[in-house]
Parts: sequence; structure tokens; C-alpha cells
Amino acid sequence: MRILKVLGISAGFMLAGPFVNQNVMAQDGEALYKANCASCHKTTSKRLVGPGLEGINEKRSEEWLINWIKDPMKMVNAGDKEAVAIFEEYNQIPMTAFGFLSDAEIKAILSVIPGKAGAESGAEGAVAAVEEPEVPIEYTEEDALAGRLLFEGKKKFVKGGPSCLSCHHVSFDDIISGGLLAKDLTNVHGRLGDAGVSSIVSAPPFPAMADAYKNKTLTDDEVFQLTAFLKTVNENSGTQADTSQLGMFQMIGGGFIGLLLWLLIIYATYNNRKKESVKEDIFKRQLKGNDSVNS
Amino acid sequence: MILLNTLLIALNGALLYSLVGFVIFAVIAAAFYYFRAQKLKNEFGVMEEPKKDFSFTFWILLAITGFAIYLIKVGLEGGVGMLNTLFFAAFPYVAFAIFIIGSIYRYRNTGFKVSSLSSQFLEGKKLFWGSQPFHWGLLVIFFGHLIAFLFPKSLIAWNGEPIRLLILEISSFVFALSALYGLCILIYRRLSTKRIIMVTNKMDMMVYVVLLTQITSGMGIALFARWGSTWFASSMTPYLRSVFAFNPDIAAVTAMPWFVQIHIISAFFIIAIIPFTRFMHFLVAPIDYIWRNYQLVLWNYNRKIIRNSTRHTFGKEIKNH
Repeated sequence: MRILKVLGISAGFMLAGPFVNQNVMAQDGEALYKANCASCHKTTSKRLVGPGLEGINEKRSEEWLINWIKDPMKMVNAGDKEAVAIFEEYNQIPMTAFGFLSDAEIKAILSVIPGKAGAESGAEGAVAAVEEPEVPIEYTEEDALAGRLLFEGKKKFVKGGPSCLSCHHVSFDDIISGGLLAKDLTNVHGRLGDAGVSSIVSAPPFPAMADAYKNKTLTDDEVFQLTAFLKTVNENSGTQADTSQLGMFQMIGGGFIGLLLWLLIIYATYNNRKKESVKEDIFKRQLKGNDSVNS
Repeated sequence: MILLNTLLIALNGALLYSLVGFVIFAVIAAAFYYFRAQKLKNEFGVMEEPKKDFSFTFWILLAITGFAIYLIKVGLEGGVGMLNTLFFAAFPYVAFAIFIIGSIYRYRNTGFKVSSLSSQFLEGKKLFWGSQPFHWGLLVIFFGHLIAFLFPKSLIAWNGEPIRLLILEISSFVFALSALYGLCILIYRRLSTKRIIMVTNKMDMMVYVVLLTQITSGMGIALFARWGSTWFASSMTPYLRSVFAFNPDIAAVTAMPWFVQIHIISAFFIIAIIPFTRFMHFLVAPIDYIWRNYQLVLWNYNRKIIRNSTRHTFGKEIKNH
């Protein structure tokens, strides 16, 4: 009964406890779009990492979009024709799943995306597209080197975010094994290109990364340098040994050597500590010849 | 692989819930029949004292925990219902409520039972070999987490130099290994020593299973989701702070690998069961023993009797004077 009482009061706490706020205003759509989508999708018809989203509301049903945004790979695996077609078209780069967004939030986001440019502006749009040729960005070696220092954490980010190395691995020269929490970035530049890398770095769409760089967004220079570094890494990846497993050996090897040293220290420090009860000797003497009682 | 995938998808949603329901039902039914069998046994007089053995309880609990972890993993990865909200936004508050109310309640009602229930008096050697590495390891790891929670910026700055990151990670791993090593010795001691078995209860087995889960999942994070020391400071601290600010933001934890999530859930579970276990002893740890003065014990010996004693064995000098 006592336990029931305790549980009852706790359950009361739970019910009164706070829950994730579900009320979404329409004007949040823009902020949500910037935080979650903008790093890969433009609201025009131009491709960034993923397709441009102009007119997406007319092209697909709302239900399809909500399902897709919440778990794209689920739809691909389930064999949805349109989903598979997009997946193949974009070199099988999977889109991040946004399962944590509520239906209301997704609707707010979709309401921000403009419809397809009308017939009257069609010609204008075509002209604009022609006028924007892709100019390959030139990176110097200094940029790549600065990017490397930023990646390793040897040079701090201006606003104080954690180094990339904490969660990401790249196989490059003598950089120590990077983290395994997030993706291996050795070939990321090859898959996403300049625009993709720099847009993800400047506004991370992944929740854990977004939390890490909240209010600590990288400056334009830092984004530029990191992109340069990742490009260099990708270009040299053919000649580099894979160092992603090195960290594991360091941890296990160092761990066991350290454990031995540490145990030695503990046991040496407390060696003269009394390990038996004070009367142990007397107790043993009394038990001589009576083994059944002794443990 | 295809079969496994199909299985995982099939487990999704309603099916998983029915499975959970079935497991709960099976456990309750098993417990019911077990206790009824025991009662019958007692009534129809098996006279000999029942042998106490906790190995069985330990392994069963371990198996149940493993299964529960698997279910939670599948549920969280499949995004079943509100499981994420339940575990990361609601469960922490339930845990803390149980911890605070339960601790006060237990302290007020059975205050003298609030202790580590020391059994050093009954067995000291194995205790020494296990307890020392276990407690030192756990303390260091605990304060490591606390520092990352309180001073994330300093930790990120320290980890800025790769070599310092390696030093921090490897030495933390050493302390985790030390805690695991000590815990294994302590489990062996409790399951194998006759005197200790007599003062053991089922909740002790729970303590061991929960600690094993916590330590091994933590080591799994250190090995397979490195470098945890930095991303704890950058991604977990905001979550924990949001929990303490009564406005939980679970987006980041939702996206973490499953063993990280298990580590978090298991940590809150430990907090929740503190009032019902020997974990309580950390609340009443005699910290002032560290700096208090020696207590002088004066024995009122009669020197003449000692001198003329006909005892044939000599006492040993006390070691820890």
C-alpha cells in the first residue's frame, strides 16, 4: 500500500508534468523551414542537395508529403514508385527522416513553399536560369589547412561550437580517428558537392548537430574553409589508409593497460587496510575441526 | 537480412503493443504460479530449510532486462506511438518524483535502514578487491558526467586539442573498465559466499543488473559512438538542461543511436529505484570521515593479567592504526 501511495503521487506528477508543445502557428513555418529544410532544399526550382521544392504542393498530395518527410526510407523500402524514383535520381543519397516534426508543423512548413511559377513568368524564369551558370569555386591550400585545423579542433570556432572530429571521421594523413556518432565524411564532398556541404555545415538539418551548434553557427569563412578541407579529403581519399578503426584499438589497448596501472595504484595505496573483521582470527580458531559451519 | 527487416517492420505499431502486453501477462502469470507453488510447498511440509540461491534470480533478471532493452530499441527505432516522448520527456519526471518522494518517505519511516547494508563484517577480502575499483571507477565517471553537464564549454575547450581528447577518453574508459571489473567481483562474491547469500535480497540482483546495463551501455557508447565526451557536452547537455528547465527538447536524443538511448533510460531508471534499493547509501555517505580526526580508542587493559596470561596464541598487532 505504501508503494501504491508513492506511485500514485508520482503519477500525479507525471500527468501534471510538461509535454512537448504541439501548438504550431502558421508563422512558425518559415523558421521551421530554415531550421530543417533550407540546408538541402531551395524554394525555387533549382537543385541544391535535394530537389528544389517550388510547386511541390501541387505535384504531390499532402498525405504523401507528410509520410515522406517523417520517414523517407520507409516509403522507399515499401516500394512507393515516386519515392523510389526520387531516391534513384539523387544517387541514392537518403533524405534525413524528420519523425520528430508533428503533422501541424509539417503543414506549416509546406504552407511556406510557393506554388509553381505561372505561365506569364515562365519565360522570365527560363532566362534567369540561363543567367546563372555554375562557377566552380576555387579553394587555396591555406583554406584547406585552416579547415583541417577547425575540423580537428586545434583552431576554435569563433562562436565556440565543438570540433567536427567529436562526431565525424575522416581518413586523412595523421588526423586521429574521428567520432562514430555521425557519418564518415571522407567522401562526403564527392556525394554532396560544394553547395551541399556548405549548406549542411552552416545550417545543420540533423537534430543532434543542430543542438550542438544552436546559437554557435559557423561564420561564412569557417564554412568556406571546412568545405575546402572536405574537398581535399575527398580528392585524396584514394591514397589514404582507412583510419576509422584506429580509435577502437587505442581505446581498448589504452584501456586495459590503464586498468592494470590503476588497479596497481588502488591496491598498493590500500594494501595495509584491514580486509577481515577484527575477530576473524578468533573465529577461525573456534571453528578448527568444524568445517561445515565455515564458509 | 530481408527476413530481419520484415520482422522489424512487422513488429511495428499495434503488433509491438500486443507483444508487450503478452510479455507482461506472461510474466505476471509466471510469478503467480511460482508463488502458488511455493505456498503449496510450504503448506504440505517440505521440512528442510529452502536453499537460498540467487544465481537463478540474477540470470532471469538479466534475460528479462535484455529482452526489455530489445523491445525498447525496436520501439524507439520504429517510432512507435509516443514512446520517445514517454521515455525522454515524461519518464525523467516520474523518476525524479519517485526518487524524491520515495527517499523522504523511506527516510522518515525506516530511517535506520537507510545504509549500504554493509556486509564487510561477514566477508572482507573479496569485498576489498571488488569494492575499491568499483567505487573509485564509478565516482570518477559520475563526476565526469557532472562536469560535462555543468561546464560544457570548458570540456569542449579541453577536447579541442586531439591529444587531450584521446587522454580524456582513454582514461575515462579505464575508470569504466575498473567499475565493471569491480562489479563482476562483487556479483561473484554475493552469489558464491554463503554468509553473504544469507543477507541478500532480490532487489540486490536488480541493482546488479541495472548497474551492468548502465556500465556496459556506457562502454558501448565510448567504443561505438565516440567521442562521447565532446558530444555529451554539445548535444546531451542541452537536452538534460531542457529537462531541468521543465521544457524537454527531445529532438536530439530521438536521433541518437539506440544504445545511447538505453543509457539515458537506464540512468533515469536508476534514479527511480534509489529509494527501494541499497543505492540509498549515497545519500547518507559519511563524507566527513574523509577529514575527521582519528578516534582514539583506549583499551582498559590490565597489564599484569596480560603479562601473566597462559594463552598460547599471540594476538596480532592491529593493521590499520
